[in-house]
Amino acid sequence: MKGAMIRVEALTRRFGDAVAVDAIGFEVARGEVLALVGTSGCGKSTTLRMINRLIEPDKGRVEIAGRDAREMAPDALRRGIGYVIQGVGLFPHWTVARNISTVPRLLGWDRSRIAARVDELLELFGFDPAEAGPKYPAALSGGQQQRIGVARAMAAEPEILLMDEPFGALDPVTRARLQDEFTAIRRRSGLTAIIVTHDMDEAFRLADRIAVMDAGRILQIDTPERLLRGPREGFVRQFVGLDDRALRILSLHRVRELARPAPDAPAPAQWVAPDDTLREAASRLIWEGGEALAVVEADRVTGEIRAEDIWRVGTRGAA
Amino acid sequence: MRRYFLAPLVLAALLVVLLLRPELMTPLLRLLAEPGQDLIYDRKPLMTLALWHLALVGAAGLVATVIGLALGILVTRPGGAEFMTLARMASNLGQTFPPIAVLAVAVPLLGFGFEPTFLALCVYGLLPVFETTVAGLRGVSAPVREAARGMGLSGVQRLWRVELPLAMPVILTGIRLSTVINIGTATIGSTVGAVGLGEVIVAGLQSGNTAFVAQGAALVALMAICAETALRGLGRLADSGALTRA
Amino acid sequence: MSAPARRAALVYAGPALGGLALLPLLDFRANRIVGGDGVMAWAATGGSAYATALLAALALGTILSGSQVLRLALALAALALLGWMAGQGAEALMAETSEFARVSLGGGFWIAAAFLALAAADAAARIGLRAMVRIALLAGPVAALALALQTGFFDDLSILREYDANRDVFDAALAGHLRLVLGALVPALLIGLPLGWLCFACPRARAVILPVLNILQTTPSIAMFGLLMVPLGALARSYPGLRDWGVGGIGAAPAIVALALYALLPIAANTYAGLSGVPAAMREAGRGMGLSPARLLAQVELPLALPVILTGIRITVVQTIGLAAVAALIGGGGFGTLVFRGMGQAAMDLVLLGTLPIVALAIAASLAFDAMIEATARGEAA
Repeated sequence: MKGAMIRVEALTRRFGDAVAVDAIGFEVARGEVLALVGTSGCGKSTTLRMINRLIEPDKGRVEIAGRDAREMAPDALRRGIGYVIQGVGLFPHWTVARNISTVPRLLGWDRSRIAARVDELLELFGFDPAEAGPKYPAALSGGQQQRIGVARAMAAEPEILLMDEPFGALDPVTRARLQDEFTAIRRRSGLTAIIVTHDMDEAFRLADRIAVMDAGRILQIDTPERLLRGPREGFVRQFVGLDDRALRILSLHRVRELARPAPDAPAPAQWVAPDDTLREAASRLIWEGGEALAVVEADRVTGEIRAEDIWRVGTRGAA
Repeated sequence: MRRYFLAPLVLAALLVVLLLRPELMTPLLRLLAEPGQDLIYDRKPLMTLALWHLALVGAAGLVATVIGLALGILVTRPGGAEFMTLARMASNLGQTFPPIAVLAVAVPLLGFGFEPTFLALCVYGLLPVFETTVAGLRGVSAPVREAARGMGLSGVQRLWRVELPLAMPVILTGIRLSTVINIGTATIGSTVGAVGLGEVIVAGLQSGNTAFVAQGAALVALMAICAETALRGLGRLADSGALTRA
Repeated sequence: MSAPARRAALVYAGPALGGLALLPLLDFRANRIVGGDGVMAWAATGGSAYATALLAALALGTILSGSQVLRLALALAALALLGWMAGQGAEALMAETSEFARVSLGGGFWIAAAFLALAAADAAARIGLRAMVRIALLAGPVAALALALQTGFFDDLSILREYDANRDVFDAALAGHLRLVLGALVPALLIGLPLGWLCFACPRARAVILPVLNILQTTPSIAMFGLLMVPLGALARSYPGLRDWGVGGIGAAPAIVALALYALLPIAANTYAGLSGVPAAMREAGRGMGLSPARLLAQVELPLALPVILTGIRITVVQTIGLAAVAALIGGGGFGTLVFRGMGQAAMDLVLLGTLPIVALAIAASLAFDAMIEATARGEAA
């Protein structure tokens, strides 16, 4: 892969006698999101922290946009890479606006540019800049703090974002909303990102590719769908979870992909939208007991989706 | 602001009035003294003694704070971590030395008067500042430290912009303790010839003049409580974030 | 051993050897009053070049040795050797002069002894010994020191000459000091513990109790003694019978009252902190299982709060042992008597004779409490 944004080669790190990361290698293309998943202690956070040199590798190399990370001063390297940490770590003695402006200030941006960027990010993450900017982190809810944490990491317009359990410790509803928000934002901004998580569902939702790690090694690195259809024997199979893989595959596809033409009509009582997942469509079909569902956009029927088409996507042979 | 400093201001005003017009105390002191004894200590003006007392405590406190802070910062840096055990043990050991012992040991080295007291105050005042600096810096939460590092703040920037401001309320507690202890130790310093309000008490004890003892004790106690409440107010102000928020 | 641990060992051995290299091991004076001549560790008379070389080798060994156990052993051996050098040197110096001559321990001895002791403590801490084991380990050197004192090995040192000359005073000071400390602690515990509980049970009481205790603690010790002389003196004048009980403006009574008042804050504040630190979930669980408030206190809250409460008592005991020295100023007795007398006579050895037992008592008390705190906290750590 020529022109990879992040390239990791034979990266190794020991702590005492224990090998935390064992000769790992992978590439992340510009604009791609890679998830590192695995159980606690599998080396995923250590791998992430070696990319911005919070931990120095014993062996191997990291290339950022074609440059060896070792050639760059660690502080300068980190200022150029957004970093969202487990536990958020907002500075409690600074306002939300001051927190977000941390790296732009370090980089010496002028005041007006910083102020504009802070307002832009606050709006992007659904805050009212005038209201939220002067608040202190303690006055925010957990979900709001997490969002400010991500906004802070994106403040200096980095091309790369490293995220360590960015939406951990949140209730499932808030978590899902933040995951959707993040997906929308990163599509718009073209960010390259690596996300560390122990939650397979989060990896499926956020990532273009997933690397399953165990005992310091990458066992398999693939797109979510290929991972579900062809997991390697052993740990990957067990970790990915195969009981509901058909449903999981369905949730990776959108209704739009399978919609057939249908005559224009007003929306019936039961319908799906083109951006709903096949999983949602399947669930509705099972509930209603029908063979097909109308696809509706702006209150008009634009097509239909058939049960047989959906089942085919979720079958072993399909690709 | 006012609610933090009202009490110390009132106490300070009372102290200044009593120092400048000690004769206001005579009705009470008359009850304590034997007939014919002087009621008010008049070998030196009380105000002069109080100012010397404060100057001694202030100067030693400044030295103790600077050294204590520096040592606390040093042992919490990665390069100084190995000195941590030594510093903590020395500090624990130091706390088992009573102030009077530090004073007593300093006299043969430095003679009587200002110097041994100053040295004892510096040494003894250093311990609380050091201890609380370490506690405060260690108390900065791991995610906050990790975030500061991950965003590319240099070591000095992390210390000045993040760690010290967040540790400040705890460090102020140490400075308060140090100051209070030192006002007391400086009083004992009068037994080795340091100029201060302790002189009045010592003179009273030597001549059996309870009036002297009582007025010296009351003034010193007032000064200590005044300093304590003022520094406590400062600590509350820091806790509320007014000092460190940017 | 890792490089950092080795560098840390250097921090102890360096100053210990530096102290001996730059400052005298012993001070020799023709009589008690005149200034002294420093005797370096390797001096022909009073010192020993061989012993100094051996000491240096032991100290360097603490830097180079691979295991902490060996480091501990080397540090203790170096301490023993240092003690032998002091005793031996004093005897050699005294053998040549009049009985008015004095040999006192020099700056080099004190610095080397302090840093070697710290090195031993550091090694013991790094081995990770439990407090009880540390105490047992300390018994060895203490017994050796006691034996050396008993057999008169150190008798030529001036501090022991002072002891000989002031034996009655010393014994009285020891008894007086213990009386002051215990006399203050018992009432302080009886009052402080319930006060701490009251602070916990009733927030409104806390808003009064803690600030008042804090003001008491803030008042300088001499001032406290002075202020207490007034009411106690008045009391004794009004009821002369009380004097037979030792109540009066001067003496142990005001000192004990003052020390007890000082002790209240750490006891009450830590009792309160310990009780309020009990996790709400445990209290809830206890209540949910039908424990009455009294049983909840006895079976859940107090056991969980015990380590914090003991920490408070430890602070109090160490503080009281130190402050009791000031009581001598108002005739309260204790080791302060020796300290103040020594300061008055410019006799450093007398000052040390008063100071060292205070420090030893304080260290012994804090070690004992450390063991107790560790024992009570163990259930929690698991």
